[in-house]
Amino acid sequence: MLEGGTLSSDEFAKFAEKVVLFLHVTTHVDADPDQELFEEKGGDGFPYMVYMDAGGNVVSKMDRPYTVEAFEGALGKAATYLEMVKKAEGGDKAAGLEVLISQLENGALKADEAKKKLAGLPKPSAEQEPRLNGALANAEVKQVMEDQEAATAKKFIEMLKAKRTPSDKEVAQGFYMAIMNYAEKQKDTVSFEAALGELEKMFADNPNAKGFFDAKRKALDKMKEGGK
Amino acid sequence: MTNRKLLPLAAALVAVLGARAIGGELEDKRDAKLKEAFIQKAGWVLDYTKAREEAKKAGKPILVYFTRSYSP
Repeated sequence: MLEGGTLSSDEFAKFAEKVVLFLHVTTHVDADPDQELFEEKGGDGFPYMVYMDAGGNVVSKMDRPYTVEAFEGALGKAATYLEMVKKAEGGDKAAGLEVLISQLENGALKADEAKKKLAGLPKPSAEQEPRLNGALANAEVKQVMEDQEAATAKKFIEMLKAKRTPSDKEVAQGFYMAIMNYAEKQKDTVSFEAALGELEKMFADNPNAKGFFDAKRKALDKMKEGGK
Repeated sequence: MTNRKLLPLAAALVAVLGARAIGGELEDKRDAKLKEAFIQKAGWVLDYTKAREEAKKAGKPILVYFTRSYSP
């Protein structure tokens, strides 16, 4: 047990003096702040632990086991990374390469962006090469999947505009959710509102859906306020 | 996107709506989570902005623990 074990230990309390501890709880309560932070910072399963800098950038990700020794190790990596960032900002290209690899490993850099930056950087060392290749492949896979999702959503938006919509309720839910997820990222208020309206009709007799739709209406208002 | 890919999206929606079915229980679960002893013991900050401000002021990195209260 992480919370009843490591995080409750005296050893951890002593270690914690070296860092600022921030606890984020995903609650599914619409009114709670920063509920999107877990996904924004690359989380895809609980528990999820990372180090961030004061700007909120992920600088090191933690893996199991979550022991104080592992926290120390990741803290060392985070400190090294932050030193490298400073050097890279000062024009050190070797440091720039290490920063790029770390950013790829932390999911903070897209494959295309990384490839462009690599053109101006030195060749990786024997230690860096497998890290770079693996992290670049991870980023490429993610990018392909994102591109596929975007292509799918664009196709669905075309279908919606042409009033060609699914008749099966379960398929329709996925259809409209795919549109809403993509439209929200693109700040496409027209498609978002159209898909939301259809989902609201489908769940009109479900009182439990009110909170979900209220939150989506608020998100729509925010998008409209921000402009496209 | 095939049915196999669409259905999880539909299931996710139903799960979200299902979670709302328990209404105030979500707040109760959150409140119970925030009272857990480990939070007090090491002094976890619960506000994202405050955590970044403290990190900037102290020149320390932030260790972030993401957890959830809506299910065990």
